[in-house]
Amino acid sequence: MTSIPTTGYFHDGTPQSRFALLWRYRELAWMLAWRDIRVRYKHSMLGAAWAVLPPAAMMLIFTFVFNQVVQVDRQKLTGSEHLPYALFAFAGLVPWTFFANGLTGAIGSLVSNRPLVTKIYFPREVFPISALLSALVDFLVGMVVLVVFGAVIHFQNGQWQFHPSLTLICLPIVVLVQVTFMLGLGLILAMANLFYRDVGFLFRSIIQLWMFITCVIYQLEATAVWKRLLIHLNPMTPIIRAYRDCLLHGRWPFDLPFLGAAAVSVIVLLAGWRWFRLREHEFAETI
Amino acid sequence: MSNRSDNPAITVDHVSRKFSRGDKRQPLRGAIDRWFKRDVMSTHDDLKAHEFYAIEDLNFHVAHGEALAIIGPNGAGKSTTLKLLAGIMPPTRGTLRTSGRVSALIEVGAGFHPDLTGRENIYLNASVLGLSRTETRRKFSDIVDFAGIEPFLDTPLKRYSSGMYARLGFSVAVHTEPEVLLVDEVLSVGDRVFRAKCMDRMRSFLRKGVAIIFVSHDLTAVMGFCDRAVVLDKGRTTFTGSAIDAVSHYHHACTPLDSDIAHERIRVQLRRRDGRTALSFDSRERVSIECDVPYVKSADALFLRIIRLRDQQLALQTCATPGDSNGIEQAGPSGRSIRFDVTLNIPPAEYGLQVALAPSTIDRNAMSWRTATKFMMRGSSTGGGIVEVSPTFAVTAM
Repeated sequence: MTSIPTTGYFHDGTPQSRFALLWRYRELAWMLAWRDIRVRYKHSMLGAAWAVLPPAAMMLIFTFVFNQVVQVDRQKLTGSEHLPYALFAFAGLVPWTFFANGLTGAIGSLVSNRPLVTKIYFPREVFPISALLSALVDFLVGMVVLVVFGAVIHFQNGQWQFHPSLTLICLPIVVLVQVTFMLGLGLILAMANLFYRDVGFLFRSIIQLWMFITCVIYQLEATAVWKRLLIHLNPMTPIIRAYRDCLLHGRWPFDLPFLGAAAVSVIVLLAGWRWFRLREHEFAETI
Repeated sequence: MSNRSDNPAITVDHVSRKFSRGDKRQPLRGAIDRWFKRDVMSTHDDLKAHEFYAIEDLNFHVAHGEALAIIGPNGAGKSTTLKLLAGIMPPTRGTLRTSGRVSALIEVGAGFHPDLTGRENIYLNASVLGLSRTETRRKFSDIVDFAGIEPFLDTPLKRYSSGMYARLGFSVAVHTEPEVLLVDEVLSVGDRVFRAKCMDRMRSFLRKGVAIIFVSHDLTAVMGFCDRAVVLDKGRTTFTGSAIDAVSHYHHACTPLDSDIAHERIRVQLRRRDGRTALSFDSRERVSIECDVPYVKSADALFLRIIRLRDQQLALQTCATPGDSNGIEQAGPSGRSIRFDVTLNIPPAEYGLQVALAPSTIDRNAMSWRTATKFMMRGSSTGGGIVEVSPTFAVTAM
C-alpha cells in the first residue's frame, strides 16, 4: 500500500484544490515568464521588435509569392475581394506564431528548468504555463502591430475598410480558446518530452506541416469531405479563422467549427492536466 | 500548525524510497504499458534486479524549535530524505508530515539566471522560494544587507564571484520565513564570517520555533548546532540520538575523512623515567609521551609535534604509522596506546605538545593539530635557538 504524503503535493486533490494551489503560484509563473522575456531580448539590438519581425517576414514572403510569383486570385485566397493579402496573412500569422512559439517553449519548459524540477517543489504546471505566458506577451505586441497595420491600410487603401465593429469584443474569447488548447497540448507534450526527447524533435517538424494544413496563409473552403475533416479535427483552423472574422470581416466568429474547436480544447486541457498530475511524481527522478 | 507545542513539526514514519539503477526510460512497449498505470515501481519488499533502496524504513520526528542533523557518508540517502520532505518526489512506502511552510535549501540560488542582475535575481529566486513580490520588496534591503552585495546589485550575476553568488542565494533563502527549513550542505560555501552569520540566523530561526533539518559533512557544525542526529548508511538508519553521540558513532562506523572528533578523544600524558607524570622537565631529560588513541579506521597514523609557545617555533615532529615498532597496528577495537620515548634537547621555555590523527599519506601541511598539553622546560639557557646543545667550555691560553 502506498501512503500518500501530506507534504509535497502528490495527492489526488480535486481539480479545484489543485487550481487553488496553482493560483497561489501565479506570481511565480509570471516571474518565470518575465525571466524568459528579459533574457530573450537582453542582448539583442532590436529587442522586443523580434516579437513581430518573424511573422512580418513570413507575411512579406507569402505576399510576394502569392501576388508576384504565382498570382493567385485574391478572392480565392482570402475569401474577400478587397482585403489585401498582406493583412489577411498577418492576421493569421500573428496567432499562429503565438501557437508555434508558445508550444515550442512549453515542450522544452520542464527539461530546460531541470535544476528547479529536481531541487524545489512547486506545481510543475507552472513551467509550461510560464512558457505560454512569455509567448503571450509577444503575441499581444503582435496584435497591437496588427491593428496599427490594419489602420494604415484602412487610410491608405480606399477599397478595404477596417470596420471597428462589435465583433471585436469576441477577441478575448478567441484568445482564451486558443490558450486553452495550447495549454492542454503543452502540458501533455512537455511531460512527454521529459520522458522521451523525441517529442521535441518531432514537434519541430510537425509544426511546420501543421501551418500548411491550417488556414494560416490561405482560406480553406470546406466543400470536400476530406477538407471538412481537416477543419474539424484541427482546432487551429476555426481558431485562426475566428481571429479574421472578428478582426477583419466584422463577423461573429461563433460558428459550429469554432464551438467544436472550443469543446476539443477544453477536453484536451482537462485530459492533459489530469494526465500531467498523474505522472508528476516521476518528473524529478526521470528528467 | 495548530497546537504547535504538541505536534512535531516533521514526522517521518516508516519511510522507504526505491530507485532504479540507470535510466528509467524503457523500450517503447514497456513504456506504453507503464504510461497507463499509476504505480510504476512495485511497493512490495522484493526488489527487481535494477532497483535499490535509497532510504529504507526511516523514522524520526523533529519538534518546533529543534534542529536535527542527518549525517552519513555519500550515498547514504541524506539528500533523498530532504527531497522526500520537500515534496520533490514521493516515498515508495511510509508517510512524511510537515507542518507549515517548508523551505528547502537544497541548492542555493535555484532559478538564478546568469544574465540577469543581482536585483532581478533576488525577485526571481524569492518567487521560486514562494515569496510574493510585495513580501520581497519589503525584505529587499535586508536581503541585500545580509548578502553584502550592495555595490553589485545591478551587475549581471555572471560577473559575481562564486562566494557572492552563494551569499546572495543563501540570503534570499533565509528571508523566506519558513516554518520547516531543510538545509543541505549549502553552508560549505562562503567565508567564515558569512558562515557564522548564517549559523546565527538559523539559531534565531530555532528560537522562533522553526524546525530545521541539517545535512552536513561538517561535523563540528553539526555538534555545535543540532541537538539530535540521525546517522544513515546506505539508506539504513544506524544511529539516532544526541548529535555528539551520533558523530562519534559515525566516526566509528563509517570511514571518516575528518578526524576532528577523534582528536578530542586523544589522551596524552608525559612521564619521567621513574614513571611519574609531570608537566615540567629538566633540559635533556628522557621523557615518555604516552598517547591513548581511539580507533579510527582510515586515520592510521598518529602525528606528534612540540611547539615553543612564545614564537610558535617547531621543536620536534614525529609520527607513528602502522609499520612502526610502536605497534600501532596492534590496536584493539576501542583504540590503542602509543608511547614515544624522547630526550628533550630543547631550551628552557613553555612548550605545547600537539597531536593529529590522520592517514599516513596525508599532506603534512594540511593537517589540523590539536594542542593536547602544555609543559615547561626548566633551567637557564646559555644561548638561543631551538636545540639545547649544553656546550662545555675548554679554555686554553694561546
